[in-house]
Amino acid sequence: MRQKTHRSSLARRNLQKLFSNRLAILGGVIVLALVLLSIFAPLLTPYDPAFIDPTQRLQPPSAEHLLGTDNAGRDLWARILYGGRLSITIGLVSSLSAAALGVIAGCISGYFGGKVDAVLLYISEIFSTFPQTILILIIVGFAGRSTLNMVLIFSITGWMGTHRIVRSRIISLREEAFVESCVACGIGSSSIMFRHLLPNTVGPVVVSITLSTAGYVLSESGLSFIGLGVPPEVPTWGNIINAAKSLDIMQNHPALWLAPGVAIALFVLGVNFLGDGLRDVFDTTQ
Amino acid sequence: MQQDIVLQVENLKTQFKVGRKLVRAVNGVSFQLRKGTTLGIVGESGCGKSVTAHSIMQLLPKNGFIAEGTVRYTGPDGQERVLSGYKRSSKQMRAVRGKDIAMIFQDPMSSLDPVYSIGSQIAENLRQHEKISEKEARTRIIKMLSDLDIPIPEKRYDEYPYQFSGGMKQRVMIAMAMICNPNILIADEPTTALDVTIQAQILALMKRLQEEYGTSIILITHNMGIVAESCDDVAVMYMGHIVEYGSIDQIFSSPMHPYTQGLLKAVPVLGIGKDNKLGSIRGSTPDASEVFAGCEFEPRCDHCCEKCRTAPPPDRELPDGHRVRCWLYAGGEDDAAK
Repeated sequence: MRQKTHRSSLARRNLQKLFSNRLAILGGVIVLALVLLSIFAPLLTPYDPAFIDPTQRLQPPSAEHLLGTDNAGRDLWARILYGGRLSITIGLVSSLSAAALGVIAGCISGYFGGKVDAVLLYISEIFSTFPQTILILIIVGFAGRSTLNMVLIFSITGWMGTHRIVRSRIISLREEAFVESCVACGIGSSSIMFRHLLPNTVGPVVVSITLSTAGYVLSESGLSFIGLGVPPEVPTWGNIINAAKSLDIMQNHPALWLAPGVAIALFVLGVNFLGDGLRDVFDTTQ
Repeated sequence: MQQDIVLQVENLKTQFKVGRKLVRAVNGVSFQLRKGTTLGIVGESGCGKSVTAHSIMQLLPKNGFIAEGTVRYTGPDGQERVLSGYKRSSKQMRAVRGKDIAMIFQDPMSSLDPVYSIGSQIAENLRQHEKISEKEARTRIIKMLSDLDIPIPEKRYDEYPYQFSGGMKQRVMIAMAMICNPNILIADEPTTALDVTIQAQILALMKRLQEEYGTSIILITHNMGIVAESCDDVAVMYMGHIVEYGSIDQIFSSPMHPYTQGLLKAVPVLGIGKDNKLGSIRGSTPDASEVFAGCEFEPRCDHCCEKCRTAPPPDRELPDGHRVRCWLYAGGEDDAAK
């Protein structure tokens, strides 16, 4: 109860700061709208995104099919709505799990220092040298195309950034005077670690999570587009573009690639605006 | 008389490993802290005064350790505890920190965690040592904040460090240190980062709290004015030694050690006049890793003799409790060179 009232004044200040940043608000609204559209997809379209209707191939936009249909006769509007579900989820889950790995590794690195830190740094450097695409080729070769594999690969190749952020934050925070005054108050080291050091790293980590979400949505689209990502029957924004890559469709049915492209661009742009706004808000030193 | 001593430090030696070198920061320091009094530890930067305080609390950095000596603490229950015998992060030591001995640091600006409200930070300390409900803690903390002249404490409780000025933050630090009603308060240059008017307020506050709660204070400072204002006993430190120790009267009216005399000459006095030069001590403090055969102050001392170069000066205690570590007073030849 009390805890809530404590936070409220800081939360209010932060919200005010966020709301005064118009670009961040715009980004937030775009992201929120796309997320809501995806969540409420079944209410917004009567079609099943995977339902193939050969009689309705490549229909132009109409009242019946808002954005028309693709070359298998599937409703494009439905596919984009349902595709958003998976694209956004992949982006978010990947960046969250990558951040979780990075935070754990960063805490260990920063807190213990010395050899442990050196080993973790070497490991993270080794991981940074692997191009994601090659790793995905390997894993797809072994385990086949699947959403889970994609998330796994994004997490294990994406934790290094957070690792470095958290590590350097903790190393500098460890020397702060407030840590010493906590020790002088008899507070234990695990409590200092998790109650005092970790929350101080939350700002940059949240920012990096938002920004990397956008990055993973893009990567997913890219990989799906070249046919290495999610299986083609599953609708994601990348797969929808992939389905539209024949010359005939590019020239004669622009809605088929324009619509998912705009969805991706809007989402990535919105998330980046939001991330920039959050970066300003979380800067506690201001 | 013996009952009154809350902290007894005997022959404390603290050393640091820096690379392969061993730096002797504190070289056999002994003093006593009497209940309800203030002991001032003065000396220039690097003389070991902060290290002494950190040794008492076992807050030394990883490469520092107590090589010799004991720190004995007598609680209000009359039980004597040897603090120097505890491991630095042991339960016993943590129970002492904050509860029996609290500490205020030099820089209030960065001594508070920016992500928590100041109330919850004080409460964390309080509830670490006492089993009380959040509500009780709040009431007590608000009372403490208002004792410390923080306006609208109910509102300030929920505010964050960035909303406080330096002087206010130092008040919060004092509140944090005093909330468990510790026996001993170690103030490590509590006013150095503050401007002069705030300094006076903070010192007056500490004095008031001392009278109210009967706390004993160790005040570490390099400011002789602050010492004159607020201490009962004074220890003057130089290069890890207490070179002179005595009551405030003894130190200020009859300083014996040449270093103390030099320090007192260097205190600026308002209206001193254009022609009067402030005294200074020639030379500068030697590196702490240097090892001296004789007296550490010898290269800068105007009264040094052959003996000072060859053998460490003895610690001599006069009948009135005034202690001095200098060959000039090593028995026989009385205050000859004064």
